[in-house]
Amino acid sequence: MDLFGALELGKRSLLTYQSALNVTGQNIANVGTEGFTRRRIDLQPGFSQPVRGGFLGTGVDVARIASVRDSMVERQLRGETARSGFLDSRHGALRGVLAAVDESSSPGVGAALSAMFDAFSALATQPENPALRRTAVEAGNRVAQKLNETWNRLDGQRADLDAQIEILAAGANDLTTRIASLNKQIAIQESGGREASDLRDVRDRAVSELARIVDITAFEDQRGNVQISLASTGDPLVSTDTATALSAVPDPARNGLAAVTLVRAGVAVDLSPRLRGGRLGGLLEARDDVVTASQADLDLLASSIMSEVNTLHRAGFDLSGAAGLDLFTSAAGVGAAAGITLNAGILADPTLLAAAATPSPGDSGTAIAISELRKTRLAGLGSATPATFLGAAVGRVGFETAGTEASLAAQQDLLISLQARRDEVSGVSLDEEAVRLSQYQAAYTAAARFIQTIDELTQVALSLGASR
Amino acid sequence: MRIAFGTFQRGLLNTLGNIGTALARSTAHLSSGRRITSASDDGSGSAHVAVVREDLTRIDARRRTIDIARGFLGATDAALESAQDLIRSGIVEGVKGLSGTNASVRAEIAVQVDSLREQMLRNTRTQYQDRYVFAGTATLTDPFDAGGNYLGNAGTMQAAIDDQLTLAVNLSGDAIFKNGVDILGAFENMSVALRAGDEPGMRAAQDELVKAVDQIASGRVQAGVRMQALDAAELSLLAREAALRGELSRVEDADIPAEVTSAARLQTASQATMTILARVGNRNLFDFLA
Repeated sequence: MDLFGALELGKRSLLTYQSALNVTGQNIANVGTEGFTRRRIDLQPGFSQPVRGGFLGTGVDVARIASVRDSMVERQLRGETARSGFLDSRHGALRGVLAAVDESSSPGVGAALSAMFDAFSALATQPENPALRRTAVEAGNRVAQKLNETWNRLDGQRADLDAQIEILAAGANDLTTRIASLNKQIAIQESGGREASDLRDVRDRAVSELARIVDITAFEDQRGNVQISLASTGDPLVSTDTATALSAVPDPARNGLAAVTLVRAGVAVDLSPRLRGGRLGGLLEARDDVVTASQADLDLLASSIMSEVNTLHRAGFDLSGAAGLDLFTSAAGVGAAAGITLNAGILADPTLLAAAATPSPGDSGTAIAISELRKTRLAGLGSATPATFLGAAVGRVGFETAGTEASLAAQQDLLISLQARRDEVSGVSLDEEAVRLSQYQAAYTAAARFIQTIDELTQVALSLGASR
Repeated sequence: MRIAFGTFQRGLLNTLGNIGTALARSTAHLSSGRRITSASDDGSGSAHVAVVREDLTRIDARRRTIDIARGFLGATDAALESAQDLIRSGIVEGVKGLSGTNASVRAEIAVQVDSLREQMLRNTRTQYQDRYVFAGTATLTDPFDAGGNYLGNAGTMQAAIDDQLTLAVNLSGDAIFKNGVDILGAFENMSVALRAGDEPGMRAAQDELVKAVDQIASGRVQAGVRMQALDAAELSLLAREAALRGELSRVEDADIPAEVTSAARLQTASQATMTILARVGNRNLFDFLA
């Protein structure tokens, strides 16, 4: 190798270590970037050339600049992210339900029922008293109003969840479109044999975000495309550079709430009951199961109270000795709790309240019977008293909320642990980068010194010619 | 094991978040004095609390019913006591009429007896909270007309004084004043006999009034027995209320010393975590390289 060959070797070394310094700089610059995967530069010796007596190396080259990943950890992380998203949505919804039905800090349906039974109990002591009649009527009206109010609050929550479902479905579509587009860009960039690390990072982040929204199965094919399908149904969401959209369409069977559909072989298929992962799955479960379960409890309570009270009230007699009417009425086409109202006639004229078991004004048999419902195990409530039934219904929501909260906390710990495992492989260690920076700096300095030395030798060689 | 930048901080932040959640819960328990401030604190405990609270409310309602029933029976007893006095006065007037008095004196005694009858009639119309106490359940009707005819009914006014326990709080005016001895009639008979100088009639009326004293006394005994039943029921309710309040406290109330200890421990943990985060988390090799 001649001196110019040595200069070339030195230049190649300089450029190689400059690249290595750039990679280190890139890692350091992105130390705080969420989802960044550290880059590693692999160096290899330059091809040796035959010389007399053996081979001489030609310096150092960049073999590969690639991001460092552990696909198994990434897959686990995506799966657990989906579960975390599911639990997060479920927990949020349960807290909303609990706020609507819990009476730990503010009076609700249970307190209203208690007040109504109290009012009938007081009425029984003086059934002719107009003030006590008015109180009992208002207490009954309050029960109906509280049931309406609580049911409607839960229904409003379902509508909120529905709106979030539509937003998330749109968000998922945006992500699948981006991933499909990134698949295409990555394929183009990597056709030259170099890894498109930055685009891969962007795509990984998009896949992680998608996993938080919906439970997916994702794998990278041999060409570097990420193929994504729904974990629960296997329907493809991203096939190479094509994305399949999820749609949130109003469903008449759900009173206009959205069904999440996907077109399969030209036909829109309702996936809502099967999507039970990710935030979308959590919202669907909350909307269709959690909130409706509490609404069903309220409906059951309302219909039982209405039926039992009305039966007693119709058998009783009002202040004028006339047979009692229905105390509660219901609206057609809505749930019992949503449609229960106090008989408008009785509300306007409390003398129509049937407190007596005989046509006699001082008789309080019916008022006593109604007030004693508080202690009666009602068949419609599964042989529970109203208070026991309501307490158990609220307790169940509380229990589920606490359970989901505990699962969410455990899930958060698991995610942190998986992120730590991912960081172990893919995260940037400033200590490590400091050492590499020091190494590459020294190598770069040495390469420069080498060039300087060869340059001096070249000068010496040139001066030899000049002196002759 | 590689420790990447951020791993440490992420773990500590998660720990801080968990400590913050626990501290918020502990603070809520301390400030409210309750262990259950939401059903999510203890689902089964909260269901139990709901039932206990309803039991307490029911007991409260029963006690109010007992108070009113006691007032009603008190008014009844006072009316009966007054009736006994009137009858005794009638008996005294009868004795006067039988002790050889002349017609004009007997006429004056008869006027006195008429007045006693009038007072007795008013007595039968005793009201408690605007309800006639001797009219059965026809509480808005005068129980007796001027002629002494009973206008009420035989209905009983029930009071629910405990679970599965109702008590009839009224005494039928018919049974007290009419059946057995017709008390108003006895006064009237006495008056007629006095005016007519009918000695056997006066004696018969006198005998009726003597029997009437026992009849009224029997009514007072009934009222007294019912008062005792009310007292017994109230004692039972009070005992149950005390037990339920104890139960409520056990289930619902915060264990203050334990909560204070827990809050202090969490605060220490929080401060320690923040100190570690501030001091150690930011150190790396660059700090030591020239």
